[in-house]
Amino acid sequence: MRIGGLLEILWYLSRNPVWKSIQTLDLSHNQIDGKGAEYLSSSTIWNNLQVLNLIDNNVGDIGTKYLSSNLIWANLQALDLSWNSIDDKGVEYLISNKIFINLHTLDLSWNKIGDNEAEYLSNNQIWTKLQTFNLAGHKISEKELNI
Amino acid sequence: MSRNQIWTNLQTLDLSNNEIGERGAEFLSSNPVWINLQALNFAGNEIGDNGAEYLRRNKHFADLKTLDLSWNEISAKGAEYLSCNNSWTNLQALNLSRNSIDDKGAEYLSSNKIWTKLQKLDLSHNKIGDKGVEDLSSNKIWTNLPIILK
Repeated sequence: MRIGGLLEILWYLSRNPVWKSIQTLDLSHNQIDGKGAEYLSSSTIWNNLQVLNLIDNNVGDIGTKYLSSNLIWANLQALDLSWNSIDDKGVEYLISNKIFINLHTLDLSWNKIGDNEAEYLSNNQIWTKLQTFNLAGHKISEKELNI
Repeated sequence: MSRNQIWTNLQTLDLSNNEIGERGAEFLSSNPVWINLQALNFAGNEIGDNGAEYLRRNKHFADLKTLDLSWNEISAKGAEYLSCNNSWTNLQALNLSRNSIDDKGAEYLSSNKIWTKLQKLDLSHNKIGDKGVEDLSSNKIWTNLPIILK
């Protein structure tokens, strides 16, 4: 898929009033970058979104910032951002989110998350319903785990 | 993370392929609020025999059904520690593949009397010979275990 084409699709997708009740959106294994994530996050109609899979894209820290600033996905239950080149900065954006109060699955495996940010994630007070947490493939060490 | 008090509903924790080490295994297994944990993945973390000993002492994860300890440099001693665990009565799948468990380790494992619900035991890519397989197959507790993967 062409990048330009993809961005255009995301733009129309997030504004398509016909899919108002969409619950699951899987856009894994594409080339969604910060800009694409910005378009997706700008949706004001997907109040019912429960599952968002963005596995193996290029969302990065900037894209995570936009996703985290979304204000209407209060029903989001599962967010998969594995394999997305998300760094410590992206985690800081993510934990600032106050909307995803129903999140029960969070997959951040195979990004670039360090000890401090792993600690911040586990101290988050919003995700009280979390049932599945995946932080595989980082360099989480005993230093973090003793906090 | 091991002092997390918020995730009282946590059922699955995947920390595979990190650098947890034996002390990390100790800290994590001492968390008192993850009482609903059903699946724990520590694969590829160099927890070693001592890490297995710390895990064995765990009393909180009574609902644990799946435990992945593959690629962790666990030998006969670690297998002995694990088989002495008396909390994980609901354990259904134990992955110990890619470690260095030998016949002695298999003998220790086969003495386990707790894991009555075990359905899958993966011991592939270890150092188990005919004697170890014989001991494993003599276990009378694992009545739900259809196949032992050598």
